[in-house]
Amino acid sequence: MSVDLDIRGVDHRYGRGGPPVLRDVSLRVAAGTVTTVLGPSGGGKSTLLSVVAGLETPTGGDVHIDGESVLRVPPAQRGLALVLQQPHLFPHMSVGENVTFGLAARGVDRATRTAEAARWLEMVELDGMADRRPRELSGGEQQRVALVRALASEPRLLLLDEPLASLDPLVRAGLQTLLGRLIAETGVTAVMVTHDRTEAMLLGDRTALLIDGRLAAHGPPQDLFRRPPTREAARFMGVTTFIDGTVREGRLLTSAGPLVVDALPTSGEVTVAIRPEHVVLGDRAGTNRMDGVVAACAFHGEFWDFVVDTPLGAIRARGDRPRASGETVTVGLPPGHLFPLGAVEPESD
Amino acid sequence: MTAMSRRAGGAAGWAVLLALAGMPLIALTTQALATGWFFPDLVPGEWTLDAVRRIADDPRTRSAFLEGLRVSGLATLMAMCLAVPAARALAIGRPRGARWMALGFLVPTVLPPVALAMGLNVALLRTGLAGGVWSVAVAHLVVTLPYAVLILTAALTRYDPALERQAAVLGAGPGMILTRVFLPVAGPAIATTAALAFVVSWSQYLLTLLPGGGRITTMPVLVLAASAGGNPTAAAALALAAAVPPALAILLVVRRLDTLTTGRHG
Repeated sequence: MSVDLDIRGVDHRYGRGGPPVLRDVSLRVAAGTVTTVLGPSGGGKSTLLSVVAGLETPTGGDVHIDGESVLRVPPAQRGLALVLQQPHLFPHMSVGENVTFGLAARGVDRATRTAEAARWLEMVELDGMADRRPRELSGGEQQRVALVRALASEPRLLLLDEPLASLDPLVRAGLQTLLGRLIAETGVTAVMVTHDRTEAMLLGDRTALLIDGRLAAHGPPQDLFRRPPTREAARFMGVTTFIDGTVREGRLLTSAGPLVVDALPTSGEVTVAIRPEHVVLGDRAGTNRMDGVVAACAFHGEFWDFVVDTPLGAIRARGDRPRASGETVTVGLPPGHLFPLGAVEPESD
Repeated sequence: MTAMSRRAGGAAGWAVLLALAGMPLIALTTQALATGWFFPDLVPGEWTLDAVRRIADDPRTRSAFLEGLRVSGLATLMAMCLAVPAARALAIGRPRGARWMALGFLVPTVLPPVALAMGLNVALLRTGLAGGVWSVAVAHLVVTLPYAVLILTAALTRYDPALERQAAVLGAGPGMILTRVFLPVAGPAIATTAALAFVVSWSQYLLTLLPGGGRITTMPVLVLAASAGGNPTAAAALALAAAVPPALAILLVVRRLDTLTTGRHG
């Protein structure tokens, strides 16, 4: 059974007089959807999950599950499941007992539990491992057990706190796909905390950006990626070039001259931004072209990353071949890829 | 550290252990089986099992054994009932002033045993509790509890409290968390600590004699009495017998001793 989650103006600080960890966070997660909570370390993401799980009592605000406040409901009765970065499997129990711990807590009989353990373990390709001890499994296998332990308890709401962060990239990629499939098959409402942009966009129906305890943005991941609403949100989404100017006669007047921008407000002071992969270098540069000098060049495997000094300031760009520092290069800023900040307000519903 | 230096360190450790524990044990066994062992003879002139037979047949030995088991069993039980929640709070809850609290548990261990025994005796006499098994067990608690709390606290710092959070979120109540998560995971460390607390209690002499008002006779009391009576053979035989329960207690948990140091549970 999937449920709505409604976080209403939650504030939290650890201890009296401690710094605020969550500040007036409001977030609504519709039944059967996945919301990924993205943000830098220390931004309050895990605290938000702890508050929803009932492991922390917020200093302000309220949490509603399926329309009812759960602030006074103990964690055991909230009908949730929580998967953490480390699997935290019960070391003294077999894998099968771990998987069905939540069912045992509800008094489900042993025969049913055994059958359920086998069914769930088969779903994550761990068939025949029910009698093993957690220490006999690899890190990836342990995390798969942790996932099905959470899902086997038939939670109303699945909370995932960076569940794949401690795994190596190959195992992680496989588990991302598996996690997406399991959530889709069960239809459970899920909130997943991550600091990995790709993971957040891959798994989330919606993404919430939490920075310094505040909800900096919330919306479909594609929108957040293409049009992050604020400078700090844009930075976290990988945007590094910001250009300040004034809108006049449909163009952006900057310190280095006018720029053509497709989606400009009608007037006023505006900051526009552009993603590094959208900046064009060399002869292909069209509109908004200018000369620049390569200040830095670094190899990232799939691309070369450049910092180019231009009349508009330092602009970050990508290319498919190296360029020497000091090389003069033509830089183009396509009007369709320049976007004004503040165009999408963070949702607080 | 290379494998060779590790092996050398291990060998040196075993040598020190043998010297500390083995040699007195050999001397005690020899004394218990000797008749007419005089200086400067390296070994006794005659060997006999008389002293061993005598103490085995003596009803006072049996009574002292049972009395000791009762007192030390009670003291261990009480110590663990208090030590488990205290160590849990110190290790997992990390309350404010935890360091001072831990230091407070150490206070009885720095007092001279005579001063501690006399002070306790006065307190027990004033409250009318002196002279029984319970009063001696309570007196033993004063020395067993600090060791139990400190040893268990160190072991529980490696206990993962996230297991309990997981269990709670999965629907387990406090009772289920205690019996299905905490006790099974921390059980080996608790059992090992209990064995060590039993050993500490079993060897108490002054804290048995004074609070017991002379009415409670345990094995160490009997050993000291035999020793003072000028019968070294009987004292040695009694001392060997007195060493059996602590040795058994340690043997029972010897495979679990690493739970106190490496954090392995279950």
